[in-house]
Amino acid sequence: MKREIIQQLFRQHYDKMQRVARSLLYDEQESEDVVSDIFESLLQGEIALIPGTAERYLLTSVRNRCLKRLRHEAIARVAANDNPNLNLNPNLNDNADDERLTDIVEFVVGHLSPQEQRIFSLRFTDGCSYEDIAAAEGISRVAVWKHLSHIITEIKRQFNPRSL
Amino acid sequence: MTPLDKKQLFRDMQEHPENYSDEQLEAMMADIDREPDAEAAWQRFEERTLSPLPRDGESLAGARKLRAATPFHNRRGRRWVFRVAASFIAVLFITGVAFAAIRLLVPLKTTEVPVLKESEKKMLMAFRVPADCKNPIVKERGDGIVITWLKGTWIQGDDYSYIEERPVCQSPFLAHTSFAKVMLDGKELDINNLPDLPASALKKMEKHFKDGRWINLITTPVQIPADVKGNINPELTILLTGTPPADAKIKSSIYIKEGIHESFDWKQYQYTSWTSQVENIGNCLKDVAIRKDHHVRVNVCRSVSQKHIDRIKKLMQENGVTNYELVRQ
Repeated sequence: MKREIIQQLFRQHYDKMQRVARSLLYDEQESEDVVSDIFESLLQGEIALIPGTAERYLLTSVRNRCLKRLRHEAIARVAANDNPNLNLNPNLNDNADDERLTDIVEFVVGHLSPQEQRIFSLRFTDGCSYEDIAAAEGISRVAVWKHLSHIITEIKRQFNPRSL
Repeated sequence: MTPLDKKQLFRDMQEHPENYSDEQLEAMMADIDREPDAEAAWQRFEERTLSPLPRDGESLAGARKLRAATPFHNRRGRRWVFRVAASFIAVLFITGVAFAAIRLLVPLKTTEVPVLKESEKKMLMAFRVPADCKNPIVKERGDGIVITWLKGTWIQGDDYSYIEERPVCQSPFLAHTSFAKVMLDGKELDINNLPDLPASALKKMEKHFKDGRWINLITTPVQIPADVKGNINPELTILLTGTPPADAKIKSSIYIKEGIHESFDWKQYQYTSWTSQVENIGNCLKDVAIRKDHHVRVNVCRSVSQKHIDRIKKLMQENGVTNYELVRQ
């Protein structure tokens, strides 16, 4: 993909992408790494965007990569507790992870309330701020936080080893 | 509070929001949703992905990642070239390789550095990593081959093809033999036994990174297809906005776009800057001025001050742009 287009996409979507990453990782550098990795993939031509789907693709990529990171962190933590000498390769089981991420979407649809599904989608697919979600749902920002906390905790509980 | 502590607090707030006050949760949300500095992030992104070398403080792991993420240099663009060139020169200085009077002249659409002296116009030169080299990525990549080519050389990459229009160019990326295979007329080059050829011998350079990493330097005559054009667009439109647009994430009061355009909407243009080291309007103008048939249009928005108009006129003169017009909104 041409650099000019990448720059345009970066300019348009960085804000939301960083927001999604932060709300899962809460680490400025890690969040930036995740977002940059996605643009690198585009730059290298590893991924082709279908016109009209850029934002959805970019934000979904951020969400999935962050969840993957969290899962690897959790695995590493559990493994380190069990065997401090174990050196895990974080790139192992990528295919299994990808399948798992598809399962997460199914889990959200199958196990969360309609309101939580909407909030999940607003935050992690549309990249909305807490403020925007609160306005859309007619609830307070703190309520949004609590819903999202519940959603993320449930996802982690369902998919991560021994929870986090 | 350390970043780790903050992260732990964040996790705890997520898992047990009931233990925190509304004010604490609000503060956390405000922190997460604060507007990021997209311009700085873009600068870091470009440096990270387009520079071949780790910068001060960058970890080896980061450099490895960068290496994996950087398919040598098949990218075209202006902004990061000077950063890349600076890295190259830094390597030369670090390692004691003598390239007298290497000078950066022109912002380039490809990752090349123009050189001036006849003595530097050797097509192939060996770069040796010294034993005391402290740069981990250079050490890891090992020795490399520096390639120089001249105006008229046909450059073909995975998804682009053009005829070089700049007088003399040199790859600032060292073609590290562990990273990319460099061939001369289809035969892999031995860095210990490089042929002594003038840069003018190079007729075509094929750079492929999608299917393996290899560069083929062709010295036999080539027939360049009629649809392959030069790499400098002689037409450029500059947009002066006066003040940075309020809704622009990357703040600037000057934007560019190749070709001649009438729009006064910054969103239709690409970011550039007056003074940035890695991308600035002067570099773009120098590039355009290489073409004698150049034409630059400057779209001047209503709020632009005379100071900016004088400044752009001065830059035109300094960079050799003689054919330009100012169009007021």
